[in-house]
Amino acid sequence: MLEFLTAPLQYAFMVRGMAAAILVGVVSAVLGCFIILRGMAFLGDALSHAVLPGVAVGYLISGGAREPVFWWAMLTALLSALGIGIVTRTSKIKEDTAIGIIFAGMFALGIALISTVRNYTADLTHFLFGDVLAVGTGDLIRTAIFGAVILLGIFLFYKEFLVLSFDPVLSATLRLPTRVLEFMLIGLVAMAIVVSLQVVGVALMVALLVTPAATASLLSRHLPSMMLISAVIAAFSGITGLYLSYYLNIASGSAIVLTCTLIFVIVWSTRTLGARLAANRSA
Amino acid sequence: MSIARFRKPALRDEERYFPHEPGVPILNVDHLQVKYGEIMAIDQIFFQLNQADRLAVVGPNGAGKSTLFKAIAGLLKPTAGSIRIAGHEPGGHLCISYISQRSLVDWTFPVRVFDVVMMGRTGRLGLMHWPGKRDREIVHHALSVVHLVSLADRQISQLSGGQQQRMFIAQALAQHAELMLMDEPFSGLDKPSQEELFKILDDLRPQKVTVMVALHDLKMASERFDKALLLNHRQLAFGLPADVFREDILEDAYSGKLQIRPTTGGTTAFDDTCCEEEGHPHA
Repeated sequence: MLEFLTAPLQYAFMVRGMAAAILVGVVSAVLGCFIILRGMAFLGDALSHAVLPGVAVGYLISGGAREPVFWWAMLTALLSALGIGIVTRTSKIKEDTAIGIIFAGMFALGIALISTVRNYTADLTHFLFGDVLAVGTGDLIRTAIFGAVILLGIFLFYKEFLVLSFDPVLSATLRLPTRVLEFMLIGLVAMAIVVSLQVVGVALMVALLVTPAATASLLSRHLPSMMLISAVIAAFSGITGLYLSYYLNIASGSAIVLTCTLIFVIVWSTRTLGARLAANRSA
Repeated sequence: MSIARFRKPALRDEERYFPHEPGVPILNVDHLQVKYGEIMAIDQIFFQLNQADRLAVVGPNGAGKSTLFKAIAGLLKPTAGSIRIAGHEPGGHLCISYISQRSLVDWTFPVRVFDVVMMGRTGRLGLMHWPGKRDREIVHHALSVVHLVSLADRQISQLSGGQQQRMFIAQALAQHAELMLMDEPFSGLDKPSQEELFKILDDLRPQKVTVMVALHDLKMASERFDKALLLNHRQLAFGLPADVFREDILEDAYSGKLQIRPTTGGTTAFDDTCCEEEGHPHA
């Protein structure tokens, strides 16, 4: 049994991958609590798809080096967030429509750019679904730094984000800088997406942001403990996913997301079933 | 342990927000008009309130009651006319609280009663300052005023309608609100809960808290309030309830949709006691 657990860890790439999966999982899961409370899941999904052209440009100009990809992705994520805000504020177009337009447009641009490269399918797959086992030491350091920045941001503005999520009207009558806070939260989401890119890729990113948080929301009625539970679920899914990936030879990103989803299904069904049984007993 | 220690102390409220001029009415509304684009929501509103007044705002559904409240709270900009809170524009004040209709609140939100009341402190604390002992004492005191100390650790969905309303009054007290705007606080409450709410409002009178309440029950408005404002986009009457709720004026406001029944004490009118209002989203 012990050997079953330690065998994959003899490989440095497995250890780095696991560290990255835990880091990214915890950061996304904590931030994800605000995303599900504010109903921003669609925005999170859209932003993660919208970084694709940035990834492509970084990839094309650097010939495969990691660092430019990271910075270009960050720039694209922030620009997309800004674009969605501007379109919503300056026209009659509703926010989810604006998100849809920008998300699909940017995603198409990303695919167009990547399709100019010869071995297009292989590269596209890499960006769409991530490759946690290719995480290098430099990637890990950047992930740790930005993860810490995101967690610090949540910590410092916790009480403002809480008010904003609970009641935007209250936030306005308390004279909080509502617009600035909203954009800061979206900025943190953009950052989380970029650091998570390598682990799950753009297509599955939204799962890290919403699934552990949604599972935790079924188990907790107090935000700090919900964040903690969400983080634990994400870290556990990261580790389990990588073992599954190693032994069953399935793609690592999908293994992590499937573990998250399975935990959600188990919690959701026991909760619903439990509530049904309790109702029957009392009836 | 607090980050605040490393920063300069928070500005005192008087330094950050407009001072209250002595001898000026707490609220002065002068020829107020609010339009949503081309649609006229309210027009030609003019009235004054003194400290500790209790005003009933009455009018048919969609008459502009919530719009009036939001304009006074500084959430909507008047298109004409002016609002003065103790001599200054509403936007600079932290002494106004707006208590939304209960149906607009997300009661599944993972917070406890104590947390929601503590939210009232957020504006006073300032960014990156954490609630301290004094804030917790203020929250505790606010909870004791509304008799909710024993329920402080409950998740908010576990409260009854009356308790939910009292929780928001405690939040306003923690904010040190001097002008409370309550949107339909009595809707959906049973008689004992309504009486308990009135008792708390009576207790607040010596503290010079001015209260504006939107409501549908004309009998309650005429018996339990110092002043009344009858509204149907325009201001139809303002003054003592006895002068406002005259049959001819009410007929004008509700254009025949009102049931007026002769009772032993004179005439009693019943509004259509529906709770839906206006259909403007809660944002």
